[in-house]
Amino acid sequence: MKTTLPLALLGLAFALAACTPAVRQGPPAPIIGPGGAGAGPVTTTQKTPAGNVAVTPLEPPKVQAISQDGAQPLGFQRVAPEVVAAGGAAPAASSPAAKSAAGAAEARVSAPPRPGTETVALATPAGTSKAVKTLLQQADLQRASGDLTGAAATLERALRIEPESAYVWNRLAHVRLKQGQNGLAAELAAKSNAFAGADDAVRRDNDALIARAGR
Amino acid sequence: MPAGRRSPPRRSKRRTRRARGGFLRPLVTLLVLLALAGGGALWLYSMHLADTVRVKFEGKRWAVPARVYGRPMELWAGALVRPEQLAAELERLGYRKVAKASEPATWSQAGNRYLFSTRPFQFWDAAEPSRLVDVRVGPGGVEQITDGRTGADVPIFRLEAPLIGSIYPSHHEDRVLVRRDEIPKALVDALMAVEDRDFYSHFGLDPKALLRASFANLRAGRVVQGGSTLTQQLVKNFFLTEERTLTRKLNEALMAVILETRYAKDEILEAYANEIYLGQDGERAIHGFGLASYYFLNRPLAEIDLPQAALLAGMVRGPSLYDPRRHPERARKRRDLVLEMMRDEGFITDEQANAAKAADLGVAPRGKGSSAAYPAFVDLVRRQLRRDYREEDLTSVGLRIYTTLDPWVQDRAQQAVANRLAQIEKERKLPPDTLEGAVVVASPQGGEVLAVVGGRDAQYRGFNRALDAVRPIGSLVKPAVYLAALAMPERYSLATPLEDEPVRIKVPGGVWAPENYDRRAHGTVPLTTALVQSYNLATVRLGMAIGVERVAKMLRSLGVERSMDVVPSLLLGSVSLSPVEVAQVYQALAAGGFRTPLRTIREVLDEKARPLQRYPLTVQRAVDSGPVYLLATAMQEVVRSGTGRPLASFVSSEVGVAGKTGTTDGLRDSWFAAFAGDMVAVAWVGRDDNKPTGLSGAAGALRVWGELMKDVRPARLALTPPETVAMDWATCGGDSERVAYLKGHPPGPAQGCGSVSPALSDDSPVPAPSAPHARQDDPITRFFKSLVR
Repeated sequence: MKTTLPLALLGLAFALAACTPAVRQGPPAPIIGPGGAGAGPVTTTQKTPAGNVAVTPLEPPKVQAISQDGAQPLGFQRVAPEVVAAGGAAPAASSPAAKSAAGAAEARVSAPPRPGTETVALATPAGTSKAVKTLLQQADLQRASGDLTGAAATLERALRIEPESAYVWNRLAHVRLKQGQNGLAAELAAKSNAFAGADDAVRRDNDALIARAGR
Repeated sequence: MPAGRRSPPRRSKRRTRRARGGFLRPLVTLLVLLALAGGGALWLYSMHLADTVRVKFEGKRWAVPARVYGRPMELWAGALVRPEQLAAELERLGYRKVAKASEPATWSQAGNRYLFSTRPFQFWDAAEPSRLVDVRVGPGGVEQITDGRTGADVPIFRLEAPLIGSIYPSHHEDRVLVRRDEIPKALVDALMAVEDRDFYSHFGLDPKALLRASFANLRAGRVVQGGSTLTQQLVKNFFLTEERTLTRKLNEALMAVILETRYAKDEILEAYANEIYLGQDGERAIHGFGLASYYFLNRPLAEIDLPQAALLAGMVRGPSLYDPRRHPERARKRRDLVLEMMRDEGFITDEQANAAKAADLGVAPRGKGSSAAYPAFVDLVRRQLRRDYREEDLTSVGLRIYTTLDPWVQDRAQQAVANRLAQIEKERKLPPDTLEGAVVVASPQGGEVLAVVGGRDAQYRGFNRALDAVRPIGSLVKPAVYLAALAMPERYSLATPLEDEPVRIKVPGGVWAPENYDRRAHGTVPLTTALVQSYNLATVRLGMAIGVERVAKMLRSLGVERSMDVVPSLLLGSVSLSPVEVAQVYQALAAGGFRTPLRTIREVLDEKARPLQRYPLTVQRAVDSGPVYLLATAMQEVVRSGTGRPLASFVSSEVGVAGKTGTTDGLRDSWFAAFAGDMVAVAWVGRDDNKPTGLSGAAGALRVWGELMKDVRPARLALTPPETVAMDWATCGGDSERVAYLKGHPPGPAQGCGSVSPALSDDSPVPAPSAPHARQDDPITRFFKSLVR
């Protein structure tokens, strides 16, 4: 069997060769190289290197964060990603940004809430839409379950709907404070103050938060 | 074959003796031995091939480009989503319009009521199941949302995120991976009918099909039929060469058999469905039915119907020949032929075949809904991702990238650039296609990039002007100059008189003597007016008085990271920035002095849609809110009565847009940067060869900006005065006006209100009021009130 099969193949292959293969149009030679700055006019200052890419890894490579700061200047600030570790869905195959640039990315593993450490002191303001109220409730639930990253994401979603709500900015500041991101928390509270107008309650709460974050 | 030459002489000698002169025995033996040796070599060779096949087969299954999604559309009662926007989104998602929506991915409309059934979608934070939703939309936005089944009120709801592109490797192969169970039966049937009817029973090669094809081809005298099995085609696709040699054929045949012995039919079919080449989109090669379904039909493969399955199966034989966009008639004939073959093979009935033949091709227009429609935006996404991910991870492990792109705004921005530039060329009798443009749109408070246009041809994947056209920004720098001044309230208010008189400044190698745009000097003018009318002389005098370094520092605070020459000409915008960098600066201005790094990515998920990373909303106070507020009111005045006035023909003055025009030497670059309530946007117009365009900021970029916002209709800009700002009536230059100022620093008579002291100029600081006045009703304010009473 071991010898006859290849022999049979051999014969078949000859027959095959006689038969013309199906038409297949190959891709035309690319006109523009990757990065595409080939046709770049005079003022081009950035060009991305056309890095050669490994095509077929034998097994899925582990997604790994790397530091390339400065290699690809965007002209604006780098956003430090946060690693998701909420809801037990943390993927095993990946620890992106774990060793990220300048320690910019921080892993935020949500700790279970300690009872009694946090209360929502402020009442939702009257003008808040039903949509935002729903998201605020959702953020509360997430925070209560220890999913602070999720709570922050939900509050950010609420801010997309009401970007000038001093109250929502205040709530986001509280979540960041709880995560230990004091600097960001203080900035968010200051931002909340910028929209607070005559809402002295929010203002007082923000000021208290800023004072706490500074300690 | 080198192994064939090997002959074992000793053995044959022995056998010859035993055969006693027999003539046939040795020959047979020799042949057998030769065959054995040859077979052994072939066996070794196939072991080698088996390894190659394994690497290819198992490797290929993982080389999946990252998929890039736009923002999911959020719907809630009160959302400023107009009916045409909602309909466009549903179409973009490939939802089919039906009489009454019920199946997933269908929608229907009755008056102002939109009923649609969503596809299940894995969001970053939750899996959203399929839902039937009933939305009432009026011209002013969403009025009510209820559950289509229970009638219950739905407070907030998000549609699935639209697929907008992918990050494919430098060999340009793009694909959307599908699992075997996502391949519709109709497509499998169609493939078997036209390509390989015995797929499920052969051993990798199909001798019958081969003979059949050979005879057919011989009879016809040309190639009418192929005898390759799906397995052979898969192998052929693994090695993308067009070489047609005997060795190649033998290799393919061997590998096909090896593949069959090692993998199940369904695994091979799945690999085939993901591997097969089906078309070309510029430099991007469309591989696999998963992507082809999105690219040609704008829907996931699992949703295609019988005629669409036949269309795709028919393209295997000649992706270019049967491209349904380029050759719709040929593609239709091919599809109908496939349908007939399916009927002949018994896969479908006569009726089914006829009904399918009557159907439209169902091909989506290119660029609309088809993935990779927004190369400039995806380019920015890719550059941001490269900071955190390895290139091969982006292009091979099938990450899902959820971005901030708003396709509605993006489409409007692309059209605005293309249409307006053509119109300007026509009006001004400029040679056609010489102007170029770029646009960046972001959300002011969130810093989310909503749209990026890199040039007139938005589909072009080349030079991305929004990111890479680094040009002098001209007068767009002025807000930074005035903000630096207003941040010193003891010296400057909006009413401070400035001298708009000729100025000569010694610089290395000579004297710099800037001029106004109208080449005239305007005497003593309030600070606001100097900005509103974009007076160069007053600005340079102001900037020299406060110091160029202070202006450079302000620009850095506002987010400029590029190094700049701190020279006097910086005051008139000699610094070169890209549109996206300018957008960052104006974001900080639009957000009351809080800088939020512009983001294009919200979240990254792995190939199983598990969350990996998110890019959080961060803010950083760059400048005090008070001075920024004052500046923003002055920038509103720019649009109301200054150089930005032509915007009135695009956007209602009630929107209260705050902006600034920019023009550079010799009219080479035309800029407009401005913000409304929910959008900050930058437009640039110029030429790639940097030759003069003859366009000022107002004549070029402002019109692109206006055209975009005319359609997008941004929210009203309602500036919230910070605590530190007071507002009062003052008589400035003979008119009574409300003037905003920083508490404690009201514009006194010395600041141009009441009577202007001619002795004062911008370089002699305005004396601060003798006593601090923090309350609104301070004596000086009362004095002003008495003036206007």
